[in-house]
Amino acid sequence: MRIKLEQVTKNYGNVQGISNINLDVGTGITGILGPNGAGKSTTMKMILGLSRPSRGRVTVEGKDPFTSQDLKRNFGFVPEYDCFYEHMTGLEFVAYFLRMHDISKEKAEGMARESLSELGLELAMDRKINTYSRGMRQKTKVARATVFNPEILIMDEPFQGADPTTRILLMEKMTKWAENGKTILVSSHILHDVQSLTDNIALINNGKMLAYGNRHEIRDLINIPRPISIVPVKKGNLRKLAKIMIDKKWTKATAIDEENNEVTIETNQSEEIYLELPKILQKEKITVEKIYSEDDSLDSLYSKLVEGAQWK
Amino acid sequence: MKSKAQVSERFRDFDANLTTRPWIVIGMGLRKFGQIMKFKNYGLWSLIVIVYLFALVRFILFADSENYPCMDMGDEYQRCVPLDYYGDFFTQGGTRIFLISIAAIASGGVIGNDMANKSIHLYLSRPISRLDYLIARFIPVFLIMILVTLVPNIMIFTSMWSDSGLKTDWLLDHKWLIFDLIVQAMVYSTGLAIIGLTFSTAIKKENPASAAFFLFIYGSSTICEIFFIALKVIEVDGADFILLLSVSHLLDCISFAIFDAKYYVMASGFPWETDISNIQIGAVFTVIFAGCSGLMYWMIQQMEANK
Repeated sequence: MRIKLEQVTKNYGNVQGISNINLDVGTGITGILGPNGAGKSTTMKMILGLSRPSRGRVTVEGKDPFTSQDLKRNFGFVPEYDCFYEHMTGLEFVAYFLRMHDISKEKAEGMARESLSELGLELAMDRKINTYSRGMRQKTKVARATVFNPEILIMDEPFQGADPTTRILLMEKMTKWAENGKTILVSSHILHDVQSLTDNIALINNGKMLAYGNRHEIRDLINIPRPISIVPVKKGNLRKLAKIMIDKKWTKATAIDEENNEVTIETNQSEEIYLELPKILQKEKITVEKIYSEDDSLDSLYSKLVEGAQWK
Repeated sequence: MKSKAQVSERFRDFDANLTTRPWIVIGMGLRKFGQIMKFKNYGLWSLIVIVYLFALVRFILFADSENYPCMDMGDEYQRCVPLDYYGDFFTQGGTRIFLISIAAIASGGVIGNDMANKSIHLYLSRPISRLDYLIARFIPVFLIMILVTLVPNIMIFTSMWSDSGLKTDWLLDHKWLIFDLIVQAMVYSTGLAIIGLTFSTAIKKENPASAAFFLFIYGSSTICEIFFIALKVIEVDGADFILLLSVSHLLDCISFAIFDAKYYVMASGFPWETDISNIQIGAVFTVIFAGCSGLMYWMIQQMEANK
């Protein structure tokens, strides 16, 4: 299913939530990333039809989610916040929302049981939610959202407070759902998790869309030199290597890190470096332990696009 | 970690059938009714039991079918059991204070809790409209109020029929009364439910919403009555209209109109004459209840998923 945001602005009184956001999301997983207060949740809730834009247009399959009830049958929503009926068991909670759809109690409980078991809550589903750990709560929220078998799954910070085991389980499930043709929008502060899930990202900061698309393609569009680090086997080769590199036309700068035994060069022509470097090293008889660039990581992309210490 | 459970595809073909939307809304309402009526809600149950015991003692054990439903009180006024039932406890020996308390407890958290814990977003992200949600939340409060208004009155009616020897003629002569009892209970239940839900939506916290509702209905009733009597004593023209500021008195006015009885306010053991036309009552009723319904709908409509 296709989600489109066209020139969407959302104001809360005098405060601008998001401004002129454009987004076009298809099937698969898309990560919505940005610092606190960037406008991620606002964007997600407008897609869900919980909020309507002040200007611009939000459509899902060409329909307005705020007015189209029919569309909402395709939505699964995992909110960032806890919104449980604490006195209910996990099973009752998931079945309760299913029963909204006029299905029998037995069938609702059967479906809820399946959904909760799928997420590893088979032993806890009959306990009251107020006894649940943070991870169990996250799983219950995901079970409630996915039990409807939605085409679009909107997950606002689904990994928040979840232990590593829960995170891995949720990621496995999300990958599986995405492979089955679902459209999944996920926001997270844990960049590594999003990086493990998808290359498709939308970066929002201060209510503005900084970039969206494949993160590698986004990186290529940014005219900031890429760091490439080379770790020679012999520490004595550090200075020699740095001197060779600085003379090359594609090198913008070099730095020697004696403590970590590496030379880092900054370049705008990384592909050329990767082609030429083996030849240079062979000619100079320098053996290297590894060549790597952390620049392709989401973390690096963030620090380039989103200035601000809060991100870390 | 690998999950032990397998996905069962037979449970994965879920499709929300929107043709059953009325049933979805009714189902939501009935389930909420079931939740509110759980025995662990001691406060609510205690009040319901009090109302039933009160109805039993005051209107069944010590009532006489000869004077049912109404008896003349002087030349002008009539005293009717169904009107007394809704009357003030202290001046008429009615159940008003309990009914308002029940409405306060039943309605206080119905929407407010959903808004406070944000579960309202879970409902609104499903294929139901905001109006559907409001109707679904109105149903349980309305049903609880029917339980303490219509049902005891029907019991009193049945008891009086039994007292008359279960005669078919008596039943036929009083069939109009069943209709009146139903209309009266629906007016009270709808009125109190809508105002209760408005407080719940506006205040968003269960206990403060219940307290504010109780004070608004019962407090304004007491204050208006005191001012009414005071203005009557000093013979101020138009003193009657102050009663229209009290929801309880407004509902009483409608009740008296339903039973085609002349409206009076009972205070200090005397009936105090009033002169308010049905058109004026109808206009104020429409303004208050349409206003509350509109305000509540507007608040839900404006409610957006902000942090």
